[in-house]
Amino acid sequence: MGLWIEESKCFGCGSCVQVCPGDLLYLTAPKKVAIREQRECWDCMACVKSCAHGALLTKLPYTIADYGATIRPFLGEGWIKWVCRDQEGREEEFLLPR
Amino acid sequence: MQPERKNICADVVIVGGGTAGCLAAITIKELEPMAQVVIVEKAHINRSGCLAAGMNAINAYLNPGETPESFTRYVRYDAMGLLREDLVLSAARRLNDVVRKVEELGLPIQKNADGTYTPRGRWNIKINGENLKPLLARAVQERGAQVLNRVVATNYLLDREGRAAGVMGFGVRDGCFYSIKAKAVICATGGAAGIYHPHHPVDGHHKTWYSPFNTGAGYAMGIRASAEMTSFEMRFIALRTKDVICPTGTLALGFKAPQVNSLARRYMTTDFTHQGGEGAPTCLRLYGYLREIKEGRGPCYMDTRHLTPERVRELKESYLDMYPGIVLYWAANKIDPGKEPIELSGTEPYVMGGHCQAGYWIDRKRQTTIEGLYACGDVAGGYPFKFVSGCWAEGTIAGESALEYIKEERGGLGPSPVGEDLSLQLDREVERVFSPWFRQVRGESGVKPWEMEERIQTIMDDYAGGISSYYELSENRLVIAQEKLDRLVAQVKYLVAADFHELMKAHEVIDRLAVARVLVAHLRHRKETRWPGFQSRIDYPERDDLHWLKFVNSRMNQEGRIEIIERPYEQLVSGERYLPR
Ligand SMILES: Cc1cc2nc3c(=O)[nH]c(=O)nc-3n(C[C@H](O)[C@H](O)[C@H](O)COP(=O)(O)OP(=O)(O)OC[C@H]3O[C@@H](n4cnc5c(N)ncnc54)[C@H](O)[C@@H]3O)c2cc1C
Ligand code: SF4
Ligand code: SF4
Repeated sequence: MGLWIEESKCFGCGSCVQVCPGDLLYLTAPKKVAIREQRECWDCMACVKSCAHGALLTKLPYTIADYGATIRPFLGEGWIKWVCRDQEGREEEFLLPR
Repeated sequence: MQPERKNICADVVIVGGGTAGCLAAITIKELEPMAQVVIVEKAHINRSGCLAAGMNAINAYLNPGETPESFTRYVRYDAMGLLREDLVLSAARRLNDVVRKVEELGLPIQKNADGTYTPRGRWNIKINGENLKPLLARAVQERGAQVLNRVVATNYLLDREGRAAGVMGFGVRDGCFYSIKAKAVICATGGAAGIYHPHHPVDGHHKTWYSPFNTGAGYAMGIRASAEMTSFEMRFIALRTKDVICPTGTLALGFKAPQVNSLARRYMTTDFTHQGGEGAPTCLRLYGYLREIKEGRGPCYMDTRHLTPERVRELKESYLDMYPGIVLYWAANKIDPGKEPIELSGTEPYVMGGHCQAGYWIDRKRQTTIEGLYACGDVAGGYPFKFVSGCWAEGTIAGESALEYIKEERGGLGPSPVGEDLSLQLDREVERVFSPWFRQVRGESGVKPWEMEERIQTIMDDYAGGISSYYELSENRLVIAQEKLDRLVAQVKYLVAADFHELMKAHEVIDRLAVARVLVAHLRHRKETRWPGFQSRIDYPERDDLHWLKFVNSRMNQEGRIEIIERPYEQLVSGERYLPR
């Protein structure tokens, strides 16, 4: 699995670096997050959930999935909202307690 | 070039702040708020271990009408008649209380109109567990346990009498060497992934079902300290959805999807009726699938075509709490589970004591064969079908037992856990732990951790029943696996690590090698097929109760040789052992 990093949205706060269970993320000199090895990512999305700036997105390996769909979590007090988008831009939203 | 040393003293040190470790810490701090409890955690406790992404069900719960005895009977049937009934019973008595406890900590559990929990099958209840791990972590911290995040445990400290005296390790972020002396140690590091070639070898190398960051450290530390281990040969091979390796219990139990082959035949229902059909023991559900594939009737699927659009939406919601990747996968590949069935595949084999029963040989109080060392969760052996709630129950037992031990045998809580000088052990461990890094600093060439990892995985896949051979085992191939792994032991001294992250990887691979060697010794010793699919010996294809209704245990001796010990099975709960329960 792997991770999309949208550098322009990353403020270098380090919360994803703190939380990744595989110690895969680190901050580069200009305070942007980077991943050591895409193939080492477990796809647990702990980092994605920890980023308040929406700079991280889970990316499935191309060997198993077509390009173009996305899934994003949004966290609130006691709830989590997921927005899943397919290649054509159709969205499905899910609101769950947490 | 010597690393800075940090020395800490505690009453209890817990290795691994995951599911079981958190409950052990909470239990101790609630019973004895003054107790000094230190958790050593290689990742960050907020999202470490199997619970990192969350959970959508509690898989071991006594729904109304069930008892610890009925649970034990079921687990015995699921484990093909061999298990430690004392361990299962003692944990089962706590399952419901510990679930209630975690609900009080904030876990949303789905409820019926009358306020009872919503079952998802006989032993399961539905939860919204996305936030489960942060919730446990908060409870641990609120109760004042000290958490050392990003510290990788590497070995136990032992005193002159051979009792556990603490833990050693190193900081991935600060590069320091840590020693935590304590009067009791609880191991809760989870099981081991990455022993076999992964299902996705290329860009999905870590797309495993079990956490790829649980690499068998607790097993390896025990093996190196000559603790007795049990049942490694009962490997866990998960039947999962193809590509994203997502759990299928949600489909089978929550959405009543049967297994079908490419001819739409329900092979479990028709061919395994006498063993429970769709609800047959876990290993047989894998075995049934493998047989269809081998005999050319694959691919196989979970048939979800009966689901209405509303139910498909519920299915997605349920997966988002645990495995959001599959919802993305369906969107990316335009899969509608209401219109097409979900393809299955088997994972690479894992060594773990939470679904199967590989782990430390422990007594009812969860003490290992090393005095003062306790084990709980996936690292503890003899008790399969543990799941998240069984790990919690076992964590509470280990926590209580460690406290009791300190009070009765170690003079109670308080300072100076170990009087004697342990500096020789510390010096040796600094040398052992940091040598891959020292070597790289000196500019020497050598073997990178990933190279050795792939070497081990290839040996295991080729000769010890990996995915490429339908997981089947035979003596001649196991002998080769053993020889090749033994040779690798002499290669460990060539590992090099450029930084502390790579040093962690180096130790993960050293630990996996230790686990793989014990696993192969166990696989060789059991000359019957007890768990078809998980442990299929093609040279001994039948179950043989006359000779093999017993545990295969092992212990590494001073010379590094693995000695096998056989232990008897004891039936405590009456009744038939193999028929559906
Ligand atoms: C993907 C997945 C989904 C699951 N879904 C469910 C479900 O829905 N319901 C259910 O009941 N069960 C489920 N299970 C099973 C259940 O989650 C596990 O059995 C349970 O979490 C194991 O608990 P544990 O404490 O033994 O291990 P973990 O919770 O994994 O904890 C082990 C801890 O030890 C740490 N550690 C490891 N090595 C070291 C070291 N060298 N030094 C320091 N720390 C270390 C790890 O970082 C981790 O924090 C699931 C498991 C997986 C993998
Ligand atoms: S959490 Fe987001 S903003 Fe912060 S470092 Fe990570 S990617 Fe950048
Ligand atoms: S998805 Fe999980 S494993 Fe992958 S980078 Fe993020 S936190 Fe790490």
